[in-house]
Amino acid sequence: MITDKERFEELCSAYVLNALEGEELREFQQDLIEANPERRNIYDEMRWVALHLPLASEFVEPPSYVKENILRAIQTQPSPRAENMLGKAAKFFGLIKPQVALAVSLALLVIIVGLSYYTFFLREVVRQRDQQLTALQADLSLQRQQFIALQNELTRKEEFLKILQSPKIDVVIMGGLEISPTGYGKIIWDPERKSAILQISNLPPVPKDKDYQLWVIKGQKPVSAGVFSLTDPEKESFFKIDQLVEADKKVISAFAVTLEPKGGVPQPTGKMYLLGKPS
Amino acid sequence: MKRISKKDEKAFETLYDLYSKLIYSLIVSVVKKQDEAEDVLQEIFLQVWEKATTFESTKGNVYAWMVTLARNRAIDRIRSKDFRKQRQEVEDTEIDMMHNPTEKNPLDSLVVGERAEIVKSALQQIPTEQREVIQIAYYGGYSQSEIAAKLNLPLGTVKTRMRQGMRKLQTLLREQL
Repeated sequence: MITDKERFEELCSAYVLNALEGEELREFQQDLIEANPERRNIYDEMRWVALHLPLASEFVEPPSYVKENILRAIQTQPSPRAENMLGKAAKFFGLIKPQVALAVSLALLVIIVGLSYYTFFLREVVRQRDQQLTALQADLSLQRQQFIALQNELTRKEEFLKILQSPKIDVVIMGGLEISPTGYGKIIWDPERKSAILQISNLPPVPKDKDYQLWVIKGQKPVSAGVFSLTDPEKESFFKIDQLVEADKKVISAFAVTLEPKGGVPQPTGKMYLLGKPS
Repeated sequence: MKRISKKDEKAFETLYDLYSKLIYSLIVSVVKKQDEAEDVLQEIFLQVWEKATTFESTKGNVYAWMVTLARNRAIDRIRSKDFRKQRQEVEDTEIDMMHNPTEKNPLDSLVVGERAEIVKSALQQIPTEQREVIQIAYYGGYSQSEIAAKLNLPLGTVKTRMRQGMRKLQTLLREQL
């Protein structure tokens, strides 16, 4: 409790001018709560004086646009609830001067243009990435096909190898006939498993509606041993025959290849391209 | 204020017309720069619009609220806000709890210009050194110890000058108001 009236006045005059600090401020605030009527009166009087000090300012009329800005700002505030959220932004735009508003507008314009360009740039990047992805997918598909083809080729080679590794194999060479004098063919087969490899080279390309057909001639009777097409006549081609109709070399009088309608026929109808007899 | 708290724009405009000149003048006296004073004035009136619902007439009058708000905002402009809060915080949204709500609004009783002349005259009648410490405290936001350092005076001298100056002002104003 401040016992001295003069000290109370001292603190009070500083308090109403917001010039008190630290311990003195806390002391005075506490004292004010417990102040007697006389001291309350001193406080009220001091405060009354302090509240008159603004009137000593040199009076200046604020520019009219300040009022316009303020009124515009409060009119743009949508609702009390939304006001809480948008208040600061609205206040900011209401407070700025025309020059600043222009600068902000220009800055926003630059940002919008920048964002538009960036959006366009991103779209272009996405489009390019999309194209790259499509190309990669196509490439992957191609590589998958090549992989499958290689796997098939490997399987076929393994099958061929099994035949060639067989302890007992028979071989018949077929030579080209008049229609295909440079034609060449070879049959290698495993009599026990009745599996065979047919090797062909230098035969003419097969028309779309035709196939080459292999025949096993038993005595005088030709028996079909399968049909095949040549994908690349320039290269040597190999075909595997799983179940050779006749594997006994003694019974087989010859092997022949003819050109027949697509899918083959029960009995040969076309011209003979290759012919070979077991030795 | 009740109408303003219900978002009555007309009432708000009336309040602006009544107080803007006084508040603006007070702000200019503190911040010294016109463009900054305009900013602060707009801040204050927008805050009044936003916070009108928090104003309690039982705790004080509009004039006291407005000038307290204006002075605080203006001081914040010239000094850091944290600095003021370390010293003597006066919440913007409420009047000093000890404030007498029945005290007269200086704008009510006399024409503002006439009342202003009385205040100016009273300030001129007190000794310069007393006027100086009061003005530095009120318009500069300085504490007593800061004023002592600024004027290179003992703290006790500043306290005495401030008390005597405020006392004399009270006597002079009470004689005419």
